Amino acid sequence: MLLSPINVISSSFAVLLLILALTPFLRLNQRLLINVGFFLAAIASFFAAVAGFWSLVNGMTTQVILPIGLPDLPFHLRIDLLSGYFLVVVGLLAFFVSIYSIGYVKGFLGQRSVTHLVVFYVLFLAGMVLVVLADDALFFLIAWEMMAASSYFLVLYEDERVENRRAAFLYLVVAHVGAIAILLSFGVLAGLTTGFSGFQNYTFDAMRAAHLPPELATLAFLLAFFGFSAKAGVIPLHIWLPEAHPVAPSNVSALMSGVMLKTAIYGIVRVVFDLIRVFPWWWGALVLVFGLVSAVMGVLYALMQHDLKRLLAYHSVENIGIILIGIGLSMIFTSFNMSLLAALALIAGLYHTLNHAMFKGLLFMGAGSVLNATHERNMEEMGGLIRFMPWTAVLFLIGCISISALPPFNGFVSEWLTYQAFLLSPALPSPLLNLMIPLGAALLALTSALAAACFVKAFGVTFLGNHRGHHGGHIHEAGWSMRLGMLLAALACLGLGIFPTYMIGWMDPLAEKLVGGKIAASASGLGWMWLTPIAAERASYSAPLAFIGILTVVVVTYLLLHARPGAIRRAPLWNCGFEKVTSRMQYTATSFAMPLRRIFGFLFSIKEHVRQPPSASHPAFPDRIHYHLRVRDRFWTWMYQPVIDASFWLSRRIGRMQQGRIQIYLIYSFVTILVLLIFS
Amino acid sequence: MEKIRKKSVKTWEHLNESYFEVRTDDFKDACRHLYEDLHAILRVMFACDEREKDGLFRIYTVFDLPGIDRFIIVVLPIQESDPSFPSLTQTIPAAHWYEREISDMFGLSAQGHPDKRRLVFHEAFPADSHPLRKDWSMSETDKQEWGDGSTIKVPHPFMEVSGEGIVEIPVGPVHAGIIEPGHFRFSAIGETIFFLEPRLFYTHKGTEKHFETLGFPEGVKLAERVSGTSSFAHGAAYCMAVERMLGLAITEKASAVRTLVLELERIYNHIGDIGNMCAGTALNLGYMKGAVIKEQLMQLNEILTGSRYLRGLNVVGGVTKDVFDQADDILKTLDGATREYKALMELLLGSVSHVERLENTGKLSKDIARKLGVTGVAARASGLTDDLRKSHPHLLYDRLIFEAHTHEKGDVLARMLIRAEETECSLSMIQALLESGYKGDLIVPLRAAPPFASAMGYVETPRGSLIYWVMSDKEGKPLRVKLRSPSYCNWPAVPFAVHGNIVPDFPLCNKSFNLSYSGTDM
Amino acid sequence: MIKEILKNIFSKKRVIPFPEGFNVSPTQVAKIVDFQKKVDTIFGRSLRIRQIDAGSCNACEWECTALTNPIYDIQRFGIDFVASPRHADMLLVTGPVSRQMEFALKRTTIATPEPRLVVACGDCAKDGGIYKGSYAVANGVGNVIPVDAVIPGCPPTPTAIILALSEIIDKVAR
Repeated sequence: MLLSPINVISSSFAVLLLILALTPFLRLNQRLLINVGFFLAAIASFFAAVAGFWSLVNGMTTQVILPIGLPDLPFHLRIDLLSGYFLVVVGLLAFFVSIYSIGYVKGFLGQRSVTHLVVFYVLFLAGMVLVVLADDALFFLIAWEMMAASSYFLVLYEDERVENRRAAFLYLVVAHVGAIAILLSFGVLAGLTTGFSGFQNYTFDAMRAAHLPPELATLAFLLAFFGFSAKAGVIPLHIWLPEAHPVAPSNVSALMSGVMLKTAIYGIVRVVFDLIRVFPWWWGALVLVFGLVSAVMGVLYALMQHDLKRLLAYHSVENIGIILIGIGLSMIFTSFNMSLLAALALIAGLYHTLNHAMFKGLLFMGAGSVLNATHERNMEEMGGLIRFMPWTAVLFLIGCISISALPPFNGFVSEWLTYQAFLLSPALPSPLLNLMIPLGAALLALTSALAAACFVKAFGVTFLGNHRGHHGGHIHEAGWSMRLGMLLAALACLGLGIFPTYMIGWMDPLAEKLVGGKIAASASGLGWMWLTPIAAERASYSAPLAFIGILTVVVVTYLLLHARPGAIRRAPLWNCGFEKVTSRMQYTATSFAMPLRRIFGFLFSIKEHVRQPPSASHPAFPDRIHYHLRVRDRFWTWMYQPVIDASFWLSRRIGRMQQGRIQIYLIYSFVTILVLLIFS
Repeated sequence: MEKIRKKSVKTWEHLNESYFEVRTDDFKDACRHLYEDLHAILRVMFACDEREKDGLFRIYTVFDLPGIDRFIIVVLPIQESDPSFPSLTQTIPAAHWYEREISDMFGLSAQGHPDKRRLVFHEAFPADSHPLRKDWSMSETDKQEWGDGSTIKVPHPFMEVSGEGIVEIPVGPVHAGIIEPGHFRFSAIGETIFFLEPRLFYTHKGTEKHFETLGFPEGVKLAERVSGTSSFAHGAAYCMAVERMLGLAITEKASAVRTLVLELERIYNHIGDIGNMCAGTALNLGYMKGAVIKEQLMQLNEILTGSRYLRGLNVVGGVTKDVFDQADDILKTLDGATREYKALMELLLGSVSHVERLENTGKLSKDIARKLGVTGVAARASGLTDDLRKSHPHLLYDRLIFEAHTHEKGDVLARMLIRAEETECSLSMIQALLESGYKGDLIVPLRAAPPFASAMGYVETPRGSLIYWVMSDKEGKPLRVKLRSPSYCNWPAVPFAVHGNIVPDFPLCNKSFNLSYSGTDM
Repeated sequence: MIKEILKNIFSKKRVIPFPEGFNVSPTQVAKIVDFQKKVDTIFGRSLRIRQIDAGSCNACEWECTALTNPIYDIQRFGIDFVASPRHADMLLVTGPVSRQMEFALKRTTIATPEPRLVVACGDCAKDGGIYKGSYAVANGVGNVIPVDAVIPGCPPTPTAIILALSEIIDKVAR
């Protein structure tokens, strides 16, 4: 059999089906089910990643029409460069997370059945892969729905708590609102195809060939952008993200945050760059603006959180914003036919996609192992975990460094490339754009700085210091599979950070296909060690040198300090001569964010009060004081609450039609039949 | 007053002190009547072990009626078999520390006091050990364990503010600068302080008990070393108490010397404090200029008395040196100091960044100041008129014309302005004193102390009102020496001033009060 | 403030004089100059002192603070007071060591890295001073931690402290 990407993908599906087939037989031995199921899922994701990589590097496009589907509407499948890249994103992270899940899911043994976790996990993986591979609107939407539905059930895994059910419901509603918008967008695009007989106009090929009048193209774009933004968590449609991601099991959160949001990015790129292809500059400006708003607001929301997973979820909003910034810039440059800069911006955005998948997956996996050990999501109850969980701490730290965009890790490379896209832009024909581009660069810088601050808080409060918690239970390090999954993701972060020129070389054909520009030649102009987008005099960065430099400094310092054995005396912490230092005497997450709360407080609805209950003794001698802080998202009160209220009002009105009496229903049927008879 | 006179079992008077001995049932009523109806100020409350006299403990509660030069002292005798007394704290919040101290030192518990923790002794001091009792002793092992500090014999829980995110910042006994030891427990969110609980008495040296081992004349040296920067004032108050107890009247010359030197002490303290506050706002220029002026004044002190802190000048019965002989030196130095001081004040009040830091920081409201019995500069800055030189003119203050300055706002700027105004007032008082001549010897001869005689000595130190009370035993040796420095009254008010401010402003607030830890801890 | 800056730029630099009758003899002045050289050679112009108040009446502290004012200015010798014992070369302890400060004093000493000098400043630190015999004091710093030198005085004047430090450093050099 000839080995080609399509065959590899098929074998990946075969493995997934195998898991589903084995599940009914293995469900009695849950431990075996976990081991076999996730091991096979890891293999399947690995195959998917290989298929994608192969397709991307070799520039191959393969199209297949599947025998399944509706009558006269078969499913079209296609692996091309774009799908290949996103297959790499999906497959690579799913590989790491599946290995991690082998150990993580074992934590649920004995509490609840893991059968449906395994089943829906497999369906979720399959859905995401199929979304990326779909080549017609119908298949796309079916795969989309499969992804959404299976993730709904995964979010609802621990369904005995009411806030979990509420979060899952909210997620489902927003996902379906988005799906409707996507459906309408495909409808507009499909309705404009001509020259195909029968029902062929729902394929992407047809849409590519169609000639779109500008207004309808705009309508299609806006609907698609709205729909995909709902899934990506762009502000203001982000409201489900911080609710759904924390309550899902952590391996699912890692996948949802790392990969599912990227399928929405895939959707936007596919619709704009592949299906529509010709567009005015203000589309790009719109995407850029939403990207900037999401980035800044996302990180500000994240700073206010003291729930570790909610903090990470808000950071996903921020990073999606950064990706959209890259894509928006690319759209702007494409509309002015600056293909080199467009390629740079697009590669920056797509590189960030892969990077974000890696480090967000790593962070969620780390949060999962912390959760497993302490059964606590609230950072204010943690502290000092580095002593109990050194591996998790170091790997989480690598994730923190990556997301704060610090060299030598991968976050730095993609953000640096985004900055270069901003800074290298020439004077553009529109004055509004010329104003927005530097402003955008400044806001991006603000975002990066705040993100770094936020992760100092997250890492410091969780792992450093003394344990603040009240339960005296012993805290243990994560198991080998969890550590392996995180370690692989961390190595990927490092690798993507040290060898950017190779990555750009691989991504170059994709950029050429979509926007017509190649930057790999200039990017590796000085050889594989130096990353020089556009030109060496303008900007250059040598990642391997930076890495070696940092490593050298660390090693030399360590050796210098520990050169003479016994030269360092250990003494207790200096605390002004005071005897007892308790765990309350260290900085908390709320205190860390307090100065930023003071400055940016106007963006949130904050309520902070100190309550002194009237005590029996004199008011000058209080014996109990209580402090309470509540930070809420303004979007909920401005946007969602009115919509919810309006829809409840409307449904109550319409609900009056349900009188509950059979005579009324009979009259309804009678009137309907009359109408149909008259107007048929 | 008549009400109290009717209720008392026994009354007696000594100079401007009126003692009313009451029964336990009438004690609270009498004190409440004085505080609420007659608006008296509680000056000090202490106990005395008079069991060798008549088998009883006595609690003395000293009130100060506004407008007349008279101290009303309500006395409550307590039996050894029933060592407790009704607590005044619920009605008179100013009594809270006094009652805890009485409980620690004498073992007489205050019934109904809201705070049951020990005040003076830390955790390693044995329970049920009360040093100021005459029959008290402590074993060497107990002393070792006390010094060692690691065993907890009586726990001292700090108040915890509940609620998520509160950080407790302990600023331990050893502070970052050259300053006395004390422990502060902040409950803060980020930078904002929500609650502060200080824990003092790290420098407790057992002074009051030590007085009892020295004789009355030797006690002057000890009184001078209670609080370094008010050495002369402490010495003067102690001598005044002993002299009043012995029935001695010092000469006009000695009174003039004491008044003059008290004002000299006031000046160098106030200028030093104003300069110190600049250290709190990082205006090093002002800090150093203030330090230079203070150094010149202290060198003047050394020329006048041989000690930079004016030690060794006071003795029971008078003073050892006639500083009026060196009037020229005083005038010359003060001239130069006045000019530099005026330049400094111009600089400070003209520096907007400095004044902005001081304004509205560390506000102490008049209500809290009155309730807690705050005294001195802090009280005057919060709108209370509290100056012993005016309300109970002692030494030669009745001859000098001056006003007690007040400010209404109660913030750090007000306390600085009070100090500035008082400095100028003291400078003119010294001028006035140096213009006249005074008669008399420096020292009058002592006589033997009558048995069980008692008297009060009181002086307005640079920080506030200072009260001494002495009682002799049957041999004429000290039975009890009670000293209450102004810092003792003002420490409990500091948390209220600091509440709501940010942590970096705390050193500034502290410096604006400039309280003495050693004076409080005794 | 502008006036101050301009005054500083355009003034002939003057040294604030000691008043007449102030007791610093020429030999003492010579010692102080010598002291500067010693700090330079032995401590490399960096002698850092952590002052600890172990229950003193505060007079000794104010004398130590006076060392940093423009008149005595020990910073010109390269000496300074530091906030953390971790940075200190010398501990300058005042006070008769009240019992409730013993623990803090010991902790501070442990927190100071070796080599360190411990100097007891003042009569109280020497043997308890006027407080000797009180139940709440340890009668001198030497009874709590090992002491390298003692500076007598109640309180020792800043000049006396500088001269004493000069002799201490002399001994350290030998």
